[in-house]
Amino acid sequence: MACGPSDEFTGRWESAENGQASGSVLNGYLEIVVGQYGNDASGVLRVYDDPFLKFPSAQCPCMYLVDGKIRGTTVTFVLNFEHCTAMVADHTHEGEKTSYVLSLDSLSDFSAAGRILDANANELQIFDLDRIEYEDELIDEVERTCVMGSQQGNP
Amino acid sequence: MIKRRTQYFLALLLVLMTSGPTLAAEAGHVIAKRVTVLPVRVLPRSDRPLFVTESAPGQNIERPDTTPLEQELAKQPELDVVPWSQVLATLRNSVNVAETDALTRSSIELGIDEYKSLKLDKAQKSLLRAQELMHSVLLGIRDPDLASKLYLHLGLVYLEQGDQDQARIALGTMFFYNPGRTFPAGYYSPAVETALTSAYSDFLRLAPLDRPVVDGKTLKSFANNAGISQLFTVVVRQDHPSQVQVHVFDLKRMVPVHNVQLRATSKGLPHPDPFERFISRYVACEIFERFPANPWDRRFRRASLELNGGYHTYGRFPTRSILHNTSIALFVGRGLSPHVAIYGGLNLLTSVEDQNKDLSDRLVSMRFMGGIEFRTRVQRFTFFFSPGAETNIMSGFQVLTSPECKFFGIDHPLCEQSSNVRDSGLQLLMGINASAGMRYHMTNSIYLGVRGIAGMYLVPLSGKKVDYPLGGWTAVGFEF
Repeated sequence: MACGPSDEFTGRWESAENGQASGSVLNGYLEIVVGQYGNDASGVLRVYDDPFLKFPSAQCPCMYLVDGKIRGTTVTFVLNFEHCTAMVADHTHEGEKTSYVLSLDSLSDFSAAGRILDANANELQIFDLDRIEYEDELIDEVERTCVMGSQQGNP
Repeated sequence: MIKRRTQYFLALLLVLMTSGPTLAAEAGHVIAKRVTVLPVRVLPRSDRPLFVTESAPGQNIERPDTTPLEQELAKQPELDVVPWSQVLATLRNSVNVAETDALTRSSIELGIDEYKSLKLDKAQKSLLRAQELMHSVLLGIRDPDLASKLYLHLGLVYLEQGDQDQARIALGTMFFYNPGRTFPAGYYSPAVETALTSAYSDFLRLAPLDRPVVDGKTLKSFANNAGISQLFTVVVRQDHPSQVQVHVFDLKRMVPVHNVQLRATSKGLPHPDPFERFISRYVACEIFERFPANPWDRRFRRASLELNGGYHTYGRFPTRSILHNTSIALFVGRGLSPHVAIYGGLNLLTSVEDQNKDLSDRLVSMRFMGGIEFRTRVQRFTFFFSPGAETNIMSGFQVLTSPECKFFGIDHPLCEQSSNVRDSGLQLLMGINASAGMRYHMTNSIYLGVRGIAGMYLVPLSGKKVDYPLGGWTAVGFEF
């Protein structure tokens, strides 16, 4: 386990080696930066087409992770798709916005299992993550925003 | 911007802290001085016959009982009078005497036999060995007659060896342990009789009669083991029976401190009236006058400089979880009396990251503190209680309650400033506090201490975001 409860999720997480996320929601290589504050958390999720050149996904380069709540070894975020237009179309049901939840289960200091759930708690996608950075200070300002070239994911 | 402001604030505080100076003077106490009265030394007349036809070596002169003197001394509350018999018992218990006593006696007998057999070198060796053993267990003090016997034969051996100087010293020491000693007439050669007469004369004029043993090293050993501060010795010279000498010897400083001649009673003791007056003077000069003159006892007047460091928190704090702070403080103080002092100082606090990271930056506080210290000293420890007042200047701070504000920044659209950001400008708080603790005095001028401190702010009356300071500190202090 990490040094303290506040450090359990803080840092940068990336898709596990050779493990690209695939499923009905996110397709590509994932990178998540998380700031944990006691039992609260926030973060940003980015999707790349490949893990080496890190070209942002055309469908949705990044999105904000908000309302993060920590219960034991699990943190759940609300995924904000609002500016991922392509995905919004995919995940809008009869014109109504659908909410999705990202859940991370800490397996150790350096690995976690991620899941994306829909509003009815149906598991839509599962993926593994490795922790790359452990400290809040190592996440710079740019990484905390959804500005990816010409595509800006401001809410 | 906030970080830069805090850095300036911290730098300013550090400069102030290092240029500024608690008080830790302590109380002095008069501890009863342990004294004892040696058996009265009766010096026979200088013209008495040393050589008599019917005498026994080691003959004792009748000594006056010192109980009246002890009773007079015991009236003084500043003195703890220990009977000489008790001192001797302490010596027997404090040194491992049983075997060494026996070895000493055996060596003396061996030396005497060797002397009688004219084996002078062996006799000298045995007697010097006996002397060393005797002093190692302070047997000469416990059994003066035995010591007298040893020095007589040591003196005789030196005489036979032609060492007049050593013989004179040894024979003089013999009389020190037994001033009334006589010798059978015609038993010793004229040369020995001359040496004994001469040694007796030297003894009457020169002997240090204010102590129980001549040898300095042995006297120091006695001082270490007897648990006595000062010795009272009454010397009665039968040449002048109307007067007695009263000596006081300080075993701590190893110096004679008083030597007075007083009118004597018919029993050979100091007359009660002059003795009482002498004791009054003695107590006044030796106890009370020395009390303020002793640097250790004057410590309460000294100033002190104390550096504190430790933990601090507040009973009321702006964050959701408890706010921890590190604390350093510099205090200066000065004693007004053994039990009262004043102090003032500066305390710098910086917060450490709270559990929820609600504070956007460190909260820095500078406290000006002052008050009165009530204290009492128990041996090397001082216990104190200090009520006081303080002014606390706190840097501005910002409290964020939303993780979005913390992670994305307060200007980000996901951060709702109205409900999640609370700003507070520079704060000035004034209040009262109290601290209590103890100090351990390592040396005359350096001590270590611990202190607990708690307080509350009275100004402003309302709207305080921080209140009820509470801390636990350790300290190192210097008195000068």
